Amino acid sequence: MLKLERSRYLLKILGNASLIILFSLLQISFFTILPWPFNYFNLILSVVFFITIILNYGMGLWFAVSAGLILDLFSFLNFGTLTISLLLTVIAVNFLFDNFFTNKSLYSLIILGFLGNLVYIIILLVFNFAYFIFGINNNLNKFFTLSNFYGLLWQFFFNILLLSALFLIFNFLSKKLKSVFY
Amino acid sequence: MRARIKKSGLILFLILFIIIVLHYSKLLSPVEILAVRFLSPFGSGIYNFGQKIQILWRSDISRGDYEKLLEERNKLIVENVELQILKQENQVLREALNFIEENRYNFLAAKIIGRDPLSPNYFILNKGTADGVENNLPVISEGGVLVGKVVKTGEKTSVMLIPTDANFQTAVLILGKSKGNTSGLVRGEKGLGIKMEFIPQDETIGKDDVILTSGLELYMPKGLVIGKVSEVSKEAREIFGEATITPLVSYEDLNIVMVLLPREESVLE
Repeated sequence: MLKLERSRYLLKILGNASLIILFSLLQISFFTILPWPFNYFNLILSVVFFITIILNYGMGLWFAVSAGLILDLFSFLNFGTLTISLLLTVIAVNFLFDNFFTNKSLYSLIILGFLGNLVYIIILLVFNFAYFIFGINNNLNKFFTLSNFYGLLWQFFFNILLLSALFLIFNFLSKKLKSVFY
Repeated sequence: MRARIKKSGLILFLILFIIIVLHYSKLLSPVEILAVRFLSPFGSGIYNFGQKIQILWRSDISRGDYEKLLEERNKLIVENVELQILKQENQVLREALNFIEENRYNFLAAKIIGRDPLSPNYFILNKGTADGVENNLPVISEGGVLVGKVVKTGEKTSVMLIPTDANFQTAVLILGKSKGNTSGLVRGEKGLGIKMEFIPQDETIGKDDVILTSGLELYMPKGLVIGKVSEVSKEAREIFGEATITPLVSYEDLNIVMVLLPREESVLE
């Protein structure tokens, strides 16, 4: 019996790891080559928010760190930037969830998704300011363009869309099927 | 439950801190190399799939015909430029009675496996310092057109910046109808186009003039074609004029590129 539980646990970890790798690679190699504004879609962010709010905060933290490390391996930014940004965003979202939007409704999810996305962008901006001030690199000019501003608005829209879809699917399936992130 | 999650969070922060320290002290390199080696083929496969389905939102002529025409046109432009350069060099040789061996480049073929998640103008290549790639090396397409510059290197991957990005700039020449070669500086513009700046007012440049690298930068050889002039802008009261450059290749279609490794010294006899 214990062996069966252990192998089930290992399978769950393997399944989660595979999904983290798949989502990260999709983010790096697929969504980034889509035409504007679809290339602003941030799959990792949406999934991380969903796991944190609806499923499990601890799992959300691990997902954020794992996916962030894979993204950092291939990112132009200094190693650790995306991971720390994701981790801090998850912590902020959980704080808001615990203290303000305490029910797991679709509306809370949408508002938290929006605020979480905003927090993520602000954290990245702070990092890029710091890199600029210390002369490490200069990516600030990318943030302050009209095209990027509109792109980020689309990002909010896509993330909310995906969160809503995940919520509805999960609600539909949860009575019949246990999610793999449980 | 909350205490357990708080403990998990602290452990995670600690693990992350250790990983970041190990990364910057290069102790994590073997693990990173293994991870990149494992992930790159999947990334490359997904990238190829993404490029194939690009046809769904690209219009006009069929993809096959379009690529054939593009390749043929680029070959002709590059050949024309090479002939022009050979002609000039021949002139110098005749005058000075010196012999210069043809410049030889070392090429390193690299596959594009994705793009930076935050900046789509940064392309990720599957070759890094372990393969001889260094920062600021030029990258050309299979047809010989300059498509970018290496801006960040890892052990097994590197990042290339394409010319349409605002952070890209290089010294160039214009090969055109004027007797001399007009020089200037090109810079990317908002990820959409390329602008050539600091063109002296007395220089004659026109539409369809070819833009190539001037060789004034370290690692950037002379004669790499970037694009063609599509529009010229000269104000009488300004010291310098500007030109808009149309790239010769679509960066969206890039799959395999060549990194130009530092060339061997040319021989003077």
